[in-house]
Amino acid sequence: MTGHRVPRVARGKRPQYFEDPATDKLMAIVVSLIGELSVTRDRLDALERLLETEGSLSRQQLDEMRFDEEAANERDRERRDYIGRVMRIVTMELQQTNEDGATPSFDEQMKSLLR
Amino acid sequence: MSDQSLLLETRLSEQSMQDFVRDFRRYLKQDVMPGIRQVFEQKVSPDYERDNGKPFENYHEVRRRMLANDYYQFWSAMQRRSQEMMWESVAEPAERQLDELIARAGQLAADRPAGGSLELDPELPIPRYHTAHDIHLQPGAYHSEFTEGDVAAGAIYEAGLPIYIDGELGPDNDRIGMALIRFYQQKFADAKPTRILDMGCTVGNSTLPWATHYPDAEVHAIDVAAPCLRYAHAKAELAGIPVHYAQKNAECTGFAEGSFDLVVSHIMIHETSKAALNNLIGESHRLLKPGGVMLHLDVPRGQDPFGQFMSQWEVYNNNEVFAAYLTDVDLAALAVAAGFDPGKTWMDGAPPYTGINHAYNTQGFKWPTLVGVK
Repeated sequence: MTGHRVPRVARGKRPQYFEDPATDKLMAIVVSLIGELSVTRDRLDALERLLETEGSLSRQQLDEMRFDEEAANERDRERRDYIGRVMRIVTMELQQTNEDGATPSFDEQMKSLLR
Repeated sequence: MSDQSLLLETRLSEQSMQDFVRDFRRYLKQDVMPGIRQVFEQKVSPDYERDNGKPFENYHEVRRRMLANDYYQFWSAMQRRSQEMMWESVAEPAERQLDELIARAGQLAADRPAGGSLELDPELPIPRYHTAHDIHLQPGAYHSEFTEGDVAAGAIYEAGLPIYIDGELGPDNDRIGMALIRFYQQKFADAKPTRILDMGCTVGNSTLPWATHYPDAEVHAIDVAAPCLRYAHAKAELAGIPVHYAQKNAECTGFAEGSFDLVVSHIMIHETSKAALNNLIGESHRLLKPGGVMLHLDVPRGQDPFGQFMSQWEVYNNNEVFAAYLTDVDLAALAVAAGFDPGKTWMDGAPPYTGINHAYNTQGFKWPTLVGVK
């Protein structure tokens, strides 16, 4: 890790797509989950391929697997990052202020461009 | 990261997520999006005619009705989410490899194996049309810097583009530049430009083919975004193609009057503003030698009310806000007002280079191009 942080939320107001804004958030979460599951499927596939060529492991081994402190911390971090990604939409509107600290509407943005 | 690359490397799960976003967008484009026209023609349009006794007359009316259509709502919401996830999927590997990328770009800038150059101007004001909202939803947009000597915005843009366009700009993302070059060579067969300026070059994807096609020309490329320019310069040097990059605003470049044979831009003008557009066309005129050519290529804005409405999706949902203005504007008239001769100024269409199957690439797709000869 180099410690750099690149933001994850773009400036500019997010449009509302559905009558109920909660539906927008649910939709975004669902798409994120589809993505995460896709990643998991890819990873599982990779694991299966590795097992096929490199040897095998038993279900018991997996069930009984324990992690040292470093690995446990790593797994905690991964899981928390995962939750953050999937749930980003819930807090997104709080992060959409521009450099003036305001969240201008689309019409206000347009007006500023046509000045 | 391999020694000879400026591209981000991905871990298995990062690659899986990028692959997912690319494939999800492909699904939306191929399987969901065509249904929108169907819904429009079979339901929304007849409903409107029944209610109003006349068909849709403009895209504003289409938009009002379509926004309430649930099929469109779902596509639109998923398309938006896919764009956000695209940037999320490349930000992580960029963060991890940033120090290494900065060092490599710095080394290439120091060695300059291709003989190009980079001139940065930290005092250059970043225009309001870049700071008001992040264009394309790239967090921090083109210009934001997160650390010293930053190249993150360039690396992230470079990694996001092939996912955005599903690889249709080719392995070097240069097919928009190639399309404009072929257009120029067909329209101006005898032209032998010795100095070429590319405005709003970002990471130089469209700049590089100009330098390759005209090896004897001095190719300059400008942008307001330092992290993209650092990346562009390193990329050109690595590729062995000499380009002179400078951090300048296309509205007022500071280059000498009458110093270029050719001034071009590739899908830039819709990311500016009304005042900036007038200014940069005026600046294009000022920079050209007599007989020099201006070519500003941009994105099609639709032929009928439905097509215009669809082409506005990026306006309302992908922070290409100013593009709305271009739907109704007469660019050739702006160029004439900026000093170009009405007899030597026109709107034209540059055919795509090859392999383009973009969402709005219906049959006969062409890149609208403003042409002006000084």
